Amino acid sequence: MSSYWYSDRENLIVNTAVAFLIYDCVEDAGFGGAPRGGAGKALQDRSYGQWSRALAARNGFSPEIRKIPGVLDAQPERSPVTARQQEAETKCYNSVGRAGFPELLEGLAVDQSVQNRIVQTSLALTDRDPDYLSYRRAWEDCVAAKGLKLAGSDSWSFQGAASKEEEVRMALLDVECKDSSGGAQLPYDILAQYEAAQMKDHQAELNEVASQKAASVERAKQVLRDHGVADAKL
Amino acid sequence: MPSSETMQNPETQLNSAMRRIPRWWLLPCVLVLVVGGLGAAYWAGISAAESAESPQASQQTVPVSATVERRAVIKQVVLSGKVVPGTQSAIKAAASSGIARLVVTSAAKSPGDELLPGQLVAVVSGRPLLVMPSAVPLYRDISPGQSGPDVKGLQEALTNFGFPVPASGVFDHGTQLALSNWYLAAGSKAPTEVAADNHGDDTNTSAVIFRWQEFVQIPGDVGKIATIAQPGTVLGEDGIVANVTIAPDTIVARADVLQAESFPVGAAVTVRAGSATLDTKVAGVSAFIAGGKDSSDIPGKDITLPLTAGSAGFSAGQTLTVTAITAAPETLAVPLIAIRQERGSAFVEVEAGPDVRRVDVSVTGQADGWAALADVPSIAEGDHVRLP
Repeated sequence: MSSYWYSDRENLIVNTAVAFLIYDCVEDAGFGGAPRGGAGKALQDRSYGQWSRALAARNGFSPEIRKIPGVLDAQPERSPVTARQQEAETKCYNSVGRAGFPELLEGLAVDQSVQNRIVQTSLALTDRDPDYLSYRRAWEDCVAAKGLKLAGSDSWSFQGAASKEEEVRMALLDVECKDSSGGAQLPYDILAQYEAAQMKDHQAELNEVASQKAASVERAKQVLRDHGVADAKL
Repeated sequence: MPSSETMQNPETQLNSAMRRIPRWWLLPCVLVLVVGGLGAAYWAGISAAESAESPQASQQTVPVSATVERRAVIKQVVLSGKVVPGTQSAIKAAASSGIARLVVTSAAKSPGDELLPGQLVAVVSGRPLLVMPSAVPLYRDISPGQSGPDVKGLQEALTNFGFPVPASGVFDHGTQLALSNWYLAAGSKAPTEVAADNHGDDTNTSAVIFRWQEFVQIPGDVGKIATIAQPGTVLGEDGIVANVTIAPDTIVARADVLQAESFPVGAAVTVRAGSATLDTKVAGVSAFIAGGKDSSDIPGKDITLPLTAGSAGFSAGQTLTVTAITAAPETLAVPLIAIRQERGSAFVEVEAGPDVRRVDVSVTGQADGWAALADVPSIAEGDHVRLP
């Protein structure tokens, strides 16, 4: 499914293009300004909790943060703007909006896209899958035997740890239990299988999304080129 | 008229009968025969192979099984670590008045010797270097009659060295005598100055003084000579006579919080660095160390192991592995590949004559390709389980 959403890098490209268009508008209003640039960040997927022993040992339950190479070099913090400029910028934010670039991001609220429908359906099917349920039961028994308490009956999180050391310990035990219950990868695999079946049924719509995404990214790149960003950065 | 052919004489006819007909066609014939033969052989081979691989034969499988054993399935916890160099302290000599340069006159110690307060390190430019406890504040020369906490510290030290003197805090005659005896025991004479109480007496009397630069201190009051300058050595400007190891090389390995549970203080471990192996025990476990943002070390606890002197193959900075030697009870065990899964449940197929029976099992641990099983009455040691 991931190929029908913007990748982290594509999202950064599109967002930077939108920022340039907003600042074009601000400039037309008689003020200066430029996108802030710099690297982006992406968080580790934890739909079914921590899944990596190495990441659990390093971060506990906190997500691993990946750095996404930026399109522009990071700009220094800009000095406060005047009230008039602030007003002009707000106006431009509202008028430019997304500049016609579609929001192809997973997890957005009130998302009626075919991708989101597929994901939601697959999640629901996974939740009642016998293999998944058996895995979940084995994991629950294991973590309970190790003295860990779940944050909620359907949750993959635990009640708070008193210290970072305790959090890391709990996260390691969590992964250990997932391994002994069939592997931390198992629920993701089951979900992917349901998604694959759904994708087959909606392939035509997804092809349309893929074209839309490719066109959007290409247009964003053109906007960036028009604003002097070298191809090597895209 | 007869034709010219019929008119040929007998000799000509004979010659005609014996002419050689060109046999150029023989070559293609041979080629055809060879290629045909090869083709026939190939066909025969294929036919033979096909007949040998009858459907019945190709579908036959030879069952492979493994014996159920009773063994300790130990999940070894292995850490990466390195040899952390110990701490050294330099022992320096200082030039006093009348000494042009610092030359080692004699060395009282050799590398590897233990060095303690009260002992002589070396003689430099004719003056001894004696070890004073680190608690004695050394900062001045002391003449007879002077007093202070440094004098009191000196008196306590002299008493500990076997030259008892009351800890009055005054550098009196008794203290001078005790100090003089310490010097004598070390093979030297204590420095002296002309006594201030001559009162016009023609005979100069001298009094023992304390010259602080003739004493050195070791942090922690115990060390081992790592290096020492040999007699005749002209010391550099820094005046370093010897280097003393005050903390030995140690092995330090970082364990995450769960791994650390396998390395309590006193636990037996095996350290490996290349072909070198060392069996030792955990000497210390640090408190939790949170990993820095840019640190490659995982958050966890540092496991410290002593590196005994003379451990060959372990040099400072060397990377190594530390393996916990964990005792595990013997249980029923089968090769891991014999464990099958169905709907999240584990089972094995136990051979029963020509058939197999399915037995649900509970895997209690796995290591080195083996799975430990909780005891179930339907499986015993020596049974055979089918491998997929």
